[in-house]
Amino acid sequence: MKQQARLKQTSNASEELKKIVLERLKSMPESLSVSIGNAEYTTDELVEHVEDGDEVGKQIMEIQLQYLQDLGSGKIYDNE
Amino acid sequence: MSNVLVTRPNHDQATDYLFHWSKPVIDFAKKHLQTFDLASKKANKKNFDSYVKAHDPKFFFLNGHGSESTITGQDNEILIDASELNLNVFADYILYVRSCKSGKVLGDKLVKAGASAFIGYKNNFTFVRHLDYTTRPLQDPIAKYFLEPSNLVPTTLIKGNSASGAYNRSQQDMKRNFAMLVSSTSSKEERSTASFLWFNINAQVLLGDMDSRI
Repeated sequence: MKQQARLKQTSNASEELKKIVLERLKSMPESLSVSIGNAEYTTDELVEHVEDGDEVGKQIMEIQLQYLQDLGSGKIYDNE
Repeated sequence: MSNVLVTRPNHDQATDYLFHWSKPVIDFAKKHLQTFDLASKKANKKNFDSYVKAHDPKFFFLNGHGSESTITGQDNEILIDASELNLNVFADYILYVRSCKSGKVLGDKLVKAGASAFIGYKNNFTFVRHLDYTTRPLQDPIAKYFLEPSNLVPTTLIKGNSASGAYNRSQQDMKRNFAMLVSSTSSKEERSTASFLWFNINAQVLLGDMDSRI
């Protein structure tokens, strides 16, 4: 039971993070395009990939989560 | 005089931006070193191998797509593959690879095979561009936050500085740009790009002899 509760908590946390990332991406101006790996994506495409949870979406999540984690830990401010 | 070999394919939008942003580096290199520019269709495996053999470049500035174990040229033709047995042809050379993930496996293998130093990216090399500047990449006010600092690796090396000097100069410039992007005076477009530049700062790696020079 405890394990099931932990899994549910983790799943909820992942969904919350995904929501935060999607909100961030949706707020990006449409005048921008992002080159990641071997392809380029409009802001709408970034959102679609994260929503689909495909490989590109996972890369975008990784980029955004690293930023949010380093923002939370204060690592980002060490550079200023 | 030392030689430098540059590859800059341009078969899609991302490589086209790298193609154009490499030009200022090439112009600068030509003032100091014998510079060989494998641009567009010239950035193929046959030419690459031929130039390496004939001109013995001391420094490689390679642009394009890639993976953990490869760097590619025009139309994604593989130029260097970590599984090649003759990676020791790059012994004593310095390489700066502006492509995705080559710092993860390929860079390490090149250094183990004798390369003096390798600067690249252990994760995806990422940049954001402004769609209004598709035909004028060098004037793109957003892409410059990414590509100017990356150009500092080759220009700092060409000036005679060490690999660590070049790496640190690029890192400092990325961090300076990052601070500008997250400042209260930045535009919405600029703020939106900060997370992607932060990713590059963390992805860039220096492997090998930090004191090596061209």
